[in-house]
Amino acid sequence: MDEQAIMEVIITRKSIRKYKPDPIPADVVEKLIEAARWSPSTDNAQAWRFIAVRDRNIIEQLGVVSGTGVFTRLRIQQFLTGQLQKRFKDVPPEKKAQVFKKLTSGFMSGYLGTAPLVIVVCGHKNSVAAMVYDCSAALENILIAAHGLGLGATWTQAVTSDPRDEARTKAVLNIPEDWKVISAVSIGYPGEAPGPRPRKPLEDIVYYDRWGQDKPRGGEVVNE
Amino acid sequence: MNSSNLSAYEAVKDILLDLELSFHDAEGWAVRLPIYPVVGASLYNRLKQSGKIDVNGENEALALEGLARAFAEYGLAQGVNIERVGDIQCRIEVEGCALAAIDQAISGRGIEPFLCPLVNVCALFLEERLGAFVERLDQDLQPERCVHNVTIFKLKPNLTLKEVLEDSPFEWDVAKVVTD
Repeated sequence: MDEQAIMEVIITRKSIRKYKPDPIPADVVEKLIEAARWSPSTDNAQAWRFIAVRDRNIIEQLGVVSGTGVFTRLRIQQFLTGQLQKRFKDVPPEKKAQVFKKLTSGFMSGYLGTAPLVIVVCGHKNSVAAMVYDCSAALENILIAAHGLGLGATWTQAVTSDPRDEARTKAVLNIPEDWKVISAVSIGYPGEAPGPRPRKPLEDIVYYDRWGQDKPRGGEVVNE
Repeated sequence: MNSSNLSAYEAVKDILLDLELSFHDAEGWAVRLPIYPVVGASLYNRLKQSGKIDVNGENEALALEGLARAFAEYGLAQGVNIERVGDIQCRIEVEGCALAAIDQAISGRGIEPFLCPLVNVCALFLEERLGAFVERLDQDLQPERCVHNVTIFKLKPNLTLKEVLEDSPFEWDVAKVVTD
């Protein structure tokens, strides 16, 4: 197994929200679902279903749900309470105007509607397994596989974070009551090449052996 | 209230507290998103069916008064005042809330309270009446009295992607979002 190649695909993956209009070949779509299929699931229950949406009209309907749903509401709330201003107080004015325009456009996550492929992941409500965790593992596999196949993708919960948005998504896709929409991934050939998003340094997020315990200075952590 | 009622009331409060804590444990503060339109929906429907509130009544202020009165009649609070503040805000003041002890217990655990069924009912009322969205802005919680502010705005969730993209209020303008 090529360790460097694996880390490379994990580290260089970025959320891509602009796509070329080129359709995704059927065999590539199958590879993405295949990657999801091999994800771990509690008790190996595999209580998931994947809807690969390629129909332009249906994708646009999902884009409207995603774009006008809960995150737009939250941004407006954050703007009115000054949270957005605080979050972007150190951003240069021209960039700030750009960001504000996007966040308050009334169409926050609408990029989903412009993708040539959307995979919607659903979990069964009666599964004794932890459907959200299981489906999330599958979602990550889709993202990694997409990047490895030269595609760009973004994971969004905007189609389901609010029950009313989920109901609209379920109506668009004819999803039965006993299945829950967990998330969607918009996928396409990248139409942008964003720079890397910052990640917190390891020492800020890792403890060893116990909460709050740093790695011993000058040496490897050894299990005794 | 006799002692057995008091006991049942305390027990129900304990159960609700555990429910809220388990919600929070499962999803963190983000739990607010999935429960906001749900917790209070049955009460809202009950109020509508009982004729306590008139969602489509001509006078909005009277309808809000009716809603506030209904909360008090159900014993959910000693006094409730709901008033619109301009076009885009609504202020909900609750005195002697039956659920206040739960919020205080949650706050005491260092968790920002994420649920107020009374505010949710008001939001559902305003959303249905105005065909708008309602989102909580802020809250001031005191032992005997709390004040919640919500904002009201309209979006166009049923348009096509093209229509939304072309008609999006790109320049931030509260009035446009509200009246669009």
